[in-house]
Amino acid sequence: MPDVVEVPTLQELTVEEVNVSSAVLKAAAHHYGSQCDKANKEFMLCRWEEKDPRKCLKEGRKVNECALNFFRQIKGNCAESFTEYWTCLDYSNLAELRHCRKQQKAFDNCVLEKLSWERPELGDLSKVTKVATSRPLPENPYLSRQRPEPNPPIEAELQPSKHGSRMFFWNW
Amino acid sequence: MFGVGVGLLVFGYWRLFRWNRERRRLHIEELEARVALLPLLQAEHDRRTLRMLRENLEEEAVIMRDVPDWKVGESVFHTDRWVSPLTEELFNLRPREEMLRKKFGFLWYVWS
Repeated sequence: MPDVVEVPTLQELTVEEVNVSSAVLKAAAHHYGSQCDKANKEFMLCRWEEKDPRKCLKEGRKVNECALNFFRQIKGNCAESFTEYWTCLDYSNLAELRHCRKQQKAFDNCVLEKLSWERPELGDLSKVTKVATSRPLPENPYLSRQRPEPNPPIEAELQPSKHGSRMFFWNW
Repeated sequence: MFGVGVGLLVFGYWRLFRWNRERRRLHIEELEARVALLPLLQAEHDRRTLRMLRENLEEEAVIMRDVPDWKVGESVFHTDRWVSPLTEELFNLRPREEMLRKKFGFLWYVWS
């Protein structure tokens, strides 16, 4: 019989949000990807393994904290060059990164000097990574029924088929 | 003259291929920006759906309190696993514009 769907309370869901617009996020995206890598990957791993957003609220909270720290660090150190960069992105149609190379270089240099963050190379953020967590792997996250037993192993001696392969004409 | 024409063609093709490779690199860079931001966006989206479900649950408890044999928040499925809520289910008690905006506000495709 169907049970009550458990929904977390409003108090569990309140998290300090990152109050920032899309151009700002896109401007800082590459550095964010390399700095806040751990929290992000753990959250995505949790989400994809458990297939349930209610179980990943803790990791989501950590993602938000990391993002807020990241933006605080930028605001503390490289505020002007970052503001120029994201205003340039905001101004360009579709926020294309290639129209704002000058400001991007200025921002990258500033961040490299003060915080020693390097901008990741092209393709670094799309690499497949292994994530180490303390959370155990959930068994049967889809809550499926019991699967039927596998076929028993064949015990007799296996011979190659007589007169050659039967799939001779259908071998594509 | 024919050779000059063919030479121009080949030169044009070579320039085209180079620029296409450069465009591919630029596109990959923009996709990587999206990849880097996905956890943040996914976490916010999850929190938003869960918050709307919670509000709907409380409204349901208020609305159906006099109906006999009604379990508040009862699942309509036989399974226990998480089922992503539909937009209609989430935006049930809100003005219609919000649901339309969520459904049709941002479209990946362009044909009508």
